[in-house]
Amino acid sequence: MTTRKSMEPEFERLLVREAGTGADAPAVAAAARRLCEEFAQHLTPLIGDGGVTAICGRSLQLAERRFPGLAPALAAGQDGEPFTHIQHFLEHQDPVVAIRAAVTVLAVASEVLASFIGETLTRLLLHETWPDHFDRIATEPTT
Amino acid sequence: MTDKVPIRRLSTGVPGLDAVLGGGLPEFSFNVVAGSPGAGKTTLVQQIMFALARADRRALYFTVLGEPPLKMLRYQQQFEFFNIGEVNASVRFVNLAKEALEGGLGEVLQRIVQEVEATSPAIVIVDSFRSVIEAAKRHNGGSDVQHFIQDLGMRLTQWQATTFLVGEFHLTETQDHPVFTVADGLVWLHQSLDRNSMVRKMQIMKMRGQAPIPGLHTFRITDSGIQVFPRLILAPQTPPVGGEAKTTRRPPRLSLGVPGLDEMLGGGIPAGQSVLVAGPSGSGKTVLATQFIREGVRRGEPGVIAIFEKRPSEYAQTSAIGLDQAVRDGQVGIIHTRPLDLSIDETQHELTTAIDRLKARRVVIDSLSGFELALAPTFREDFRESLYRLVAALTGMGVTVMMTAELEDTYTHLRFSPHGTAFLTDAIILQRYLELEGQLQRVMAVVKVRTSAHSTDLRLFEISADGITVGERVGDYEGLLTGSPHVISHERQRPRRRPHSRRSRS
Repeated sequence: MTTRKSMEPEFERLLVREAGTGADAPAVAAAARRLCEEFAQHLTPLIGDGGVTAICGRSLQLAERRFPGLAPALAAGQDGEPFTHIQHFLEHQDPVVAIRAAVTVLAVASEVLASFIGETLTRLLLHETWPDHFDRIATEPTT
Repeated sequence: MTDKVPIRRLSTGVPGLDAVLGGGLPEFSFNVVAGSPGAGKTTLVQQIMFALARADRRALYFTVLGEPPLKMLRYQQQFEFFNIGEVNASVRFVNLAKEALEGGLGEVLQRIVQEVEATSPAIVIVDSFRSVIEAAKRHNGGSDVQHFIQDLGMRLTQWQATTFLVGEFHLTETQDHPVFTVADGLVWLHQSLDRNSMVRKMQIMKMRGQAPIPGLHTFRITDSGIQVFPRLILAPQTPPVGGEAKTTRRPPRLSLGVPGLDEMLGGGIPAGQSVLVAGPSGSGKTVLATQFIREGVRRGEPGVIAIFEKRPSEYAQTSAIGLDQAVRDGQVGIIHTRPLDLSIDETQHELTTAIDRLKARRVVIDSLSGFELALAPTFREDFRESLYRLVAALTGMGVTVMMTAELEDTYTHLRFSPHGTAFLTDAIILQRYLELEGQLQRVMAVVKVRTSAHSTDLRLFEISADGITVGERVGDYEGLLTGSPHVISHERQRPRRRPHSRRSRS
């Protein structure tokens, strides 16, 4: 199941790999932003900029419950730069909190996306974005 | 030179659509799929796309404005044809909302060109094309729409792609909208409302290079996707030029499984003909129809029964002669079609499918009243004409058709069908109730058998666990059908050496 809880360990490994072990908050924030942008790049052709904005907005709203301050970042970022504001938020956290917050945002985004387009398609997009990190769900060929 | 360029026709994967199109979808054709919101446009093109797309024949699906792609993907993947495994493999979705909103037609075309050149697709779909036009109007008043359509049409042709533009258009726009002139194919989807009923219909308004079946064809959307029921067109029966004269050989007779009745019919029903069994409620029409089918099973002639009032299990068990074993053995098929929103063409499709599957020789439609009620209101007005087409199609397949019709037991006038359909059938069997000597009796008569001599007797009959047993000719009475019979005086009685018979006109 593509749930926040099940996705968090996978995103944490991905983020740590991207930011480097023992990275400080600015490095974590930069890595988180790169991951968000990479995922968005693969999502945009399929669901459009509007779809990406909708998923991002809902994910930040949900993540805000655990990390107050994230959603205002979205409000400020509605000019088209939401990832800049996520990065800005993470830069000002303790590195451990920054990792947890970034991982939560990515995991919640996957969960929200799966609730709309299904687990198989979500895993396919995750696999296409990070092929060596996420497996796709095998689908049965239609006859 | 007589060599013409062959046009390859692609199978759409939509049951019934290839026939309606006139043999499939012409390769490299530029098609418009139009209709009102909710008509099934996106479902139709996606079903075709997933049927056609494969590794060496990729598809590009451009979403523009209108239905958000998130929602479109959410709902469309509920259909069985939506193969998630093909997404981003042989099928690629590309959203053009940004280009349409910010850049206008120029940027939309540029992005389409970019994507097509990168993918080399064999199938290209723009959904919705209408929203591209609307965005262009907002951008620059839509002055370059004509140029855009011409340019897109030309480019798509040179890319050797089969194309669909999907749009919410009004029928009135077909007169002057440039896209309809440029398009090779124009498929229009309608939602026809009549009172509380909605029927989906499809019309192929043009399909260059081939002859689609004209008129409106009903279709359904189910979990499997779209299924089209081609409107039945009867081929004209023309004698072969220079051929031999039509044979006058009489068709073989089919037994109804009721000895006395076979005798009344002149030896049974001529094979490949239609017979109407008319009578009041409870007179034994269904019993006779079941007996007709059971006799077929006994003789190795499978049968199909279309019922409209009871459920198949109830029908097989509660008819006087159980057919449940024959149904289990695959010798009898019972069709219980969805009531109240049927089209005749859908029923015909179900019947012919069952006939082909079982190699059936006998068909029962029980009853015409139930059938008419099961139709969507919009089709009830044309019931007589539609029934004519249905009966002609079925008998044209060589099957013998028995239909039942419920009659109000009135004695003021003689009718054989409440639908004015009696003339459509080749034979008519009439069942009536009579009061004779203080008892309610059932009688039966053969009213007509086309091109055949038949009995004109009114015969008493009984229904038992074994079915119908035909008895004696009703005795010395006259005025039986008026409801006021009286005994014929001995002076007026005709000689009764042999049963009375006559020949029906053709």
